[in-house]
Amino acid sequence: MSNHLIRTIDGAVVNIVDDVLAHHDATSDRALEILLQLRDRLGGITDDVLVRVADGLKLSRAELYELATFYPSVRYHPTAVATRAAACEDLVCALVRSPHSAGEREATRDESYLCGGSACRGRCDSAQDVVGTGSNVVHADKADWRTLESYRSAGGYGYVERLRRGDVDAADVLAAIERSGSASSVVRKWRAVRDQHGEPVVIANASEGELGTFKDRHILERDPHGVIDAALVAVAVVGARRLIIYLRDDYDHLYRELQQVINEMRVAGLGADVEFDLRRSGGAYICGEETALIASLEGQRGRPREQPPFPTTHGLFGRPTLVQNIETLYRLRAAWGMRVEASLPVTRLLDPAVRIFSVSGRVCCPGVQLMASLPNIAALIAACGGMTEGEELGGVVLGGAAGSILTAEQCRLPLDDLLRAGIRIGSGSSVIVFAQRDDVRWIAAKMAAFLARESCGQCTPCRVGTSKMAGMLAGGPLDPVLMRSLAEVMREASICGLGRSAGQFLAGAAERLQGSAEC
Amino acid sequence: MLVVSLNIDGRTIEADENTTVMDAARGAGLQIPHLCACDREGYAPIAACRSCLVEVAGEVALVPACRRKVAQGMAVTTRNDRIDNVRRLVVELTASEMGEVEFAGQTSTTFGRLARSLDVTATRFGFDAVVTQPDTSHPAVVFVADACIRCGLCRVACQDVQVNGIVALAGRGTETRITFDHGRSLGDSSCVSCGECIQVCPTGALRSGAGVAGRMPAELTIERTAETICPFCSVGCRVELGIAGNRAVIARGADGPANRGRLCVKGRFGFDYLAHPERLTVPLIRREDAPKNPELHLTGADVLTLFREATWDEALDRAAAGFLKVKEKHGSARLAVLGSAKSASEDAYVLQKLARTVLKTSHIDHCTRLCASIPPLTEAIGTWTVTLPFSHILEADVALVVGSNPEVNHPVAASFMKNAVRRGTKLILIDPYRQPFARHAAYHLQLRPATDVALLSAMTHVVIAEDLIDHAFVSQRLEGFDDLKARVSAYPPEVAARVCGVPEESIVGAARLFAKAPNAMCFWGMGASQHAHGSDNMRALIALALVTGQVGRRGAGMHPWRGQNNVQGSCDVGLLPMCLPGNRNISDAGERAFFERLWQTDIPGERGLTVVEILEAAAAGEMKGLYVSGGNPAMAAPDLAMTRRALASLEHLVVQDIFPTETAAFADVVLPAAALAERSGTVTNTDRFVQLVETAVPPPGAARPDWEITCEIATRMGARWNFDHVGAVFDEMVRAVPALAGMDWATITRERQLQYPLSADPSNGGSLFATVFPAIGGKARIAALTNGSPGELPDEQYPLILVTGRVREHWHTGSMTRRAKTLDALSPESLVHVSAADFARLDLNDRERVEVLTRRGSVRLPAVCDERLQSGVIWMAMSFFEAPANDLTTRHLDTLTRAPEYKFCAARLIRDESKNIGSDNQT
Ligand code: SF4
Ligand code: SF4
Ligand code: SF4
Ligand code: FES
Repeated sequence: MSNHLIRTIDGAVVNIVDDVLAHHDATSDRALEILLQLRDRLGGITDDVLVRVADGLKLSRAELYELATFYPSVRYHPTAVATRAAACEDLVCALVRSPHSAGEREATRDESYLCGGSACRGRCDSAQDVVGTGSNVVHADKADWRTLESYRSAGGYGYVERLRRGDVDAADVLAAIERSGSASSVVRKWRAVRDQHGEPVVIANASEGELGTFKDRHILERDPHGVIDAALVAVAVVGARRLIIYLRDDYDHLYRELQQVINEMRVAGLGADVEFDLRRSGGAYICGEETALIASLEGQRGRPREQPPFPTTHGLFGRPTLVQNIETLYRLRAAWGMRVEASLPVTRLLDPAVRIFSVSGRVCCPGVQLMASLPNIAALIAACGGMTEGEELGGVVLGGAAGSILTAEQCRLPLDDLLRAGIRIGSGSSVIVFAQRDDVRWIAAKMAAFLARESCGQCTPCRVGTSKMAGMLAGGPLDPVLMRSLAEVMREASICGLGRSAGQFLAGAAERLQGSAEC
Repeated sequence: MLVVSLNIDGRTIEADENTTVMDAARGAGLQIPHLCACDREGYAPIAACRSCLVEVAGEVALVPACRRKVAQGMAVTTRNDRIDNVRRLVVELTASEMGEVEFAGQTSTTFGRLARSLDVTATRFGFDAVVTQPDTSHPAVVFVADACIRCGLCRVACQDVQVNGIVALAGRGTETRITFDHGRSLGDSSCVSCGECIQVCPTGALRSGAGVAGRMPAELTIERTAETICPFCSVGCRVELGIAGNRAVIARGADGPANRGRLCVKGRFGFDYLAHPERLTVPLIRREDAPKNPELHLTGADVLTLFREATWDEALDRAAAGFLKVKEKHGSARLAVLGSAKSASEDAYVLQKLARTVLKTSHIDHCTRLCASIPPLTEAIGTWTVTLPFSHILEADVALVVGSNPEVNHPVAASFMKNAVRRGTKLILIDPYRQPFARHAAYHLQLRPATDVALLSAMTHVVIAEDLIDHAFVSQRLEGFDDLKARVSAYPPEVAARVCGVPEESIVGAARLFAKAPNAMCFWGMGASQHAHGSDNMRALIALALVTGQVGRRGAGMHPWRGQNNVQGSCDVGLLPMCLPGNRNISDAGERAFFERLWQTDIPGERGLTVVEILEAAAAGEMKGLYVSGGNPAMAAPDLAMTRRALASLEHLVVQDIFPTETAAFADVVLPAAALAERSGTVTNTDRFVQLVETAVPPPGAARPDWEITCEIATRMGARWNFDHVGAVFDEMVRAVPALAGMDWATITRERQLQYPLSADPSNGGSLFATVFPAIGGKARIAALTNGSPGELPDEQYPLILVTGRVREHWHTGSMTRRAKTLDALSPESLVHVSAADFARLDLNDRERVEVLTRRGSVRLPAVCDERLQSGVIWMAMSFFEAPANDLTTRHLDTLTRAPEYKFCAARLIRDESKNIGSDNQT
C-alpha cells in the first residue's frame, strides 16, 4: 500500500541508535533494555527510532511496538519526545497535594484526577515533591550508602567467601536458613531450583511497585551490599552463574548506585565468577510478579504466566529460576550470623521480630518505619509523628492498590484481631494514611484506577473488570449486586493475583461504601 | 508419547499426555466453549478470554481447559452451577468491551453463538460508550475496534502462524488494543492481506474489505460450502468456498495436506474472477472483417469485438477443420499444442493425447517450461519431483534457499518456513534482493545478480577443503566427485567474494552451517532457473547438497519451487515435447510401443519444440496451426513483439480459456472453458499430493471443462475415445503414469488426496531416496556445467539490469487476479522498482512516469524507489497488461531447460518525455 521501501531518519539519531545497538548482542531479549538506554539518551522513543531498532534486532515493528507501548518507562510517542512528564497523580501524591473532600469532589467534577496524569514513582514518602520523570526527579534521593569497606568490616561477604572456599557447603546454608526461622518458602524454592536440570539463574527483584511502597528503595539506598551478599550466597547454593538485579526503573539513583557497587566489587575481586546483569523494569507494576518479571527479561510484554509450571523449574528462557525480593535477601543474612548494628538502623531487619512498613499520606513524617512490636496501626501513625497538623485520622489503606480500606476505629483495634479477621498487610507493607475529611469513595476510585492502568491487560476479567470497577467507583449511584457480580468474576476467572485481588478489593469496597452510605 | 486416562464429566477418556483438556474433550465429542482458542496447527493456547474455565478436582481455582494439559487420573468438570455462573459473567463482561451496535450484530460469529447459548443478550456492565470509526483504509482487511474483545487470536494468527508480524496487541491494562505495525492504519501497514486474522477472529472485528466477493454481503447468507484447490501456485492450498446464489462469496482456508487451513492473499481474495462479467460464456468465431494485427495489443472486452458468437457445434467443427486443413496442407509437424499448468491433470492428459495420437505432433509444451526448476534435478538423480515436501523444513536444522522470494510467490509455504525458523531451523538465503523474508535468515548472501555459480561453487570448495563432505555418501552414492573437486578448486571463497560482492566470512560460515547440519534442505526458485545459465546455477546447488549428503532423510532433501498449481500433474501426464506420460523418453522405441498399445495408434517419435521455440517457428512461418488451452503466451512469453507476430502469422489458432486473453486476440476460434472450481478432476501439488477437485459452482453459460472440449475436437478429427466421465480419464492416466500406481478414481474420490508414490516408506514422511536414486545405476551424478553466462550484458546504451518477477497479489499474466476486485485494488498498477542510488542519480520523483527500454521494446510506467534493490538493477512485475514486462525480456534460453532468461537483460530507464503536460501537478 504505502511505499514501505523508503525510510528516513535523522542522521544524528541513527548514530545514537546504532551505537546502543552495537553495545548489545542484538538479541531480542535485550529489546527493553535497549529501548530504555535510548530513552536515557534521547528522552524517549519515537517511531523512526523504533523502526530502526526493530530492524536492528530483526523484530517486526509490531513486536517492538507492543513492548514500547506496554512499558511506560520507554516513553514512546510516535513523533515527539516529551521533555518533562506530569506530576504524579496516583493516590498518595494526589491525596497529599490536593485535599479531596466529598464536597470538593462534587465541585470539581473532573475525570482527569483519576490517574489522568503520571504514575506512582515510589516516592510516596515525599509525595508533595514528586514531579518530573525517571531521569530528572526533583527531590533529594539518598546517595550515601554504606561502603564496601564498611560492609566487609562488619563481616560482610565473609560467608559467601567461606562457601566459595568450601568451608561450608550448600547443605549447610540451607540448614542454617531453615534453623533461622526464615520463611520456609525460601528453602523450598532454593531446593527446587538446585535440584532442577539446566543452568539456573538468580534474580534479585527490586521492582517493588505497590502503591505506597518504598521499603526496598530504603534498604538499597542504605545498605546495597547486604542485598548483594545474600544474592551471591543464593547464586552459590543453587549453582547459578548469573545474577540479575531487576530494578524498578523509577529508581534511577539506585541504578547509578548499583552500577558503582558492582564495580566496587569487581575491583575487590568479589563475586568474580558471577555474571552481574543489572536490568531495569519498564515501569509496569505487574512486573513485580515473578512470571511477568521473567517475561519482561525475555524481551516480552510483562504478562503473568499461568502457574504451574513454576519459575523454579521453568523460568527465564525455560531455565530454573530463583526470584527473591530485596527484603527477603537482606534479612536472610541473619541465618549465617550477620548481626544488627546500632549505627545503621536498617540492619534491624536482621531481627525477625522487626517489621518494616512504608507509611505515606497524611502523617507528619512519612517514611519507612521499623517496628519491633506493633499493637495497632494507630501506633504506627504515632511513630510517624502523628497526623499532619489539623487532620483527624480517617483510616488507612493497608496493603496497596488492592488492599483494604480500614476505618479509624479499625486502626485502633489490636493488629492481631485485624489479621485474624482476614485483613492482610501485604508484602509491600504499605500503609497510606488518610484524614477524616478525605472521601473514601474517591480513594477507592483512585485505587481502582491504578489497578485498571496496571493490569497487564491480558485476561478479560481483569482488563475489563478493573476498568468497569474504576468506572463504577468514579461516580454515580453504586449498585451493590452488580459490584458483587463483577467482584466474583474477577476473583474466579482472572489469571493472576492482580485481577483476583482486585476482585477481592471490589467486594470489600462494595461492603465498605454501602456501609458508609447507610450511616 | 504417553497416553493417560482422565475423567471428564464422568466419562473416562484416553488422551496423549501432551494434549490439552479442551482437545481431549473435543476428541471425545465434548465441546468446551472457547473464544481465544483455535485447534489449528500453530495456535498455542492464549488462555485470556476465560470462557473455557473448568473445575479440576483437588484445585481451588478454575482452570482454563484450552491451556491445561491432561494428566493421569485427572477429574474434570466442565459444567456445574459455579462454572455456568462464571462463564456467563465472563461472556457478559466480554460483551461490555464492545460497542452496543457491534454486539447487536453478533449473529453468526463465534462470539454471538456463545453468547446466545448462555442467554447473554445484553450486559449489565454497560457497553463501551466510545464509538470508533472502523479502519477501512485497506482494500482487503477492515478493522472494527468496537467489535474487538482483545482475545489476541489475530495476533497469534499474524505473528506466530503466518509470521507476518503486523498485528500487535499493544498497550497495557485498559489501554490494551489491537494495532498494526507500529500503530499504523491497516492501509498504511505492511499487511500482506493473507486474511488469517479474519478467519480466526471470533467477533468479526477483523473482516474482509468492502465491496469484495471475500466479504459476505449483508443480504446474502451462505447457502452451502464446497471445497476446491487454489489455482494460484504450486502449494495447492485447499479452500472452502462459501456459496450464495451459486456464486462463491467467501473463501476460507480448509484443512488441506499442504496448507492446513492457511491461505495467502490470492487464495483468500482471488475467487471473484469466477463471476467476472468478462468470463467467456459462449464459443466465439473470428469475424471475417477482423484481421490479425500484431501491432495491436488487446485484452478483455476489446478482444470480444473481433468475434461473433457461435454454437458449440459450429465452433468445434471450425476448430477441428482448421487443424485438419493445416495437417493436410503442411503436415503434422506444422501443428503445435500449448497447454497450461493451471488446468487439471485430466485436461493435460487428454490434450497431449490429442497432440500425439490425433494431430500426430510432438510440439507440445506448457508454461512449466518458463519456470523449469526440475530438469537439473532429473539430470542429477533421475527424479521428476521434489525429493521431499516443503513442510519437512520443520524437521530440518538448516534450510538453504536460492533465488526465491517465497513470501511473495509461495506465501503459505513461506509461513511454514518461518514457523521452522522460529523453532530453530537456520535459514541461509542466497538472493540479490534484500527481501523482507531476509530478516529470518541466519545468513543472507546478497550476491550480485547472475553470480550464483561462483557463490555455490565457493561453498562447495569450502566444504571439500575443510573435509565436511559426507564420505560414505560420496563414495557409495555419487558419481563425478573428482570432476567437481577439480572444478570448484577454481573458486576459493576469496575469489567468489569478489565476484559476488559477498563477504568471504559469510560464504565460509554459510557453507559450514549447511554441511555440518544433521539435516539440511535446499529450495530454489525462479531466481536460480530463469537465466540463460539457469541449469548451471541449479547444478552448482545440487552438487553442494549431494557432496554433503543432504538428501534422503526427513528434513534433508531438495525442493525446487514450481510456479503453478498443477505443474507436477501436467508434467507427470506428459504435456512436454520430450517426454511421454510418466516422464518416459520419447526417443525410446520401447517406451513408445507401450503407448502405441495403450492408445491403439502410432505416435511421433521425435522430440518436439518448447514454448519459445514453437513461437519462434511460427514467426519464421514454420508453424501453421496452434491449439492454446489455458495458456497466455501473448503475455507470458518473452519478447512479446515477436510473440505477437508469431501468433498473428498462424493460419489456425484455437484458444480455449476462461477469459478473452491477450492471446485470444489472435485466435480463429475461442472456446469457453470451466475454471478449476467449476469442474472435477485432480491436481498435483509441489509435494506430490494428488488432490481431488469437485464442482463447487457451475460454470457460466455454455462453458465446459477443458478435457471435454478437447475430446470433442478429437472426435471431430476422427478419434474414438471413451471418456464418458473425468474419472475414466483419471483411470487411463494411472495406467500411463507409473508414479500414480495404486490409485484409481474411486479411491481418490474417497480419500480426496493421496501422496505418491504410494509405495514410499511411510516412516520417511514423504522424503524419498533414502538408499537409491531413480537414475540409471541408482546413483547420483554430478553434471558438468555448460559455463553459460547472461545472454545480454549491460553496456553503455543499456546500462541497467532488468529483472522481472511477480507481486504477491497477482499471478502469472494477471488474467484471473487482475479480475479479482480486491487483488486489483491492492496492486492496481505496474511499477518499476529502482534502487535508491539510481533513483537519486536519475533524479526521479516517487511514482514519476518513466520509460523502460531494451533492445526488444519499451514500456511506460511509474517508478518507485526500492532500497532493497542493488544499484544498477531495476525490477518489474510481469502481470500487468498496461505495461507488459515481457515486451522487454529476451529470448535467450537455457540449453537444458529451454527456460527464457526472465531474470536478466540489459535495459535503459529514462524520464517519460511523452507524459501529459500537467501530470507533474498530480500529487
Ligand atoms: S489478572 Fe490482570 S494482571 Fe493478571 S494476568 Fe489477568 S489481566 Fe494480567
Ligand atoms: S491479513 Fe494477514 S498480514 Fe494482514 S494483518 Fe491479517 S494476518 Fe496479518
Ligand atoms: S480483532 Fe478479533 S481476533 Fe483480534 S483481538 Fe479483537 S476480537 Fe480477537
Ligand atoms: S479459550 Fe481458554 S481462555 Fe480463551
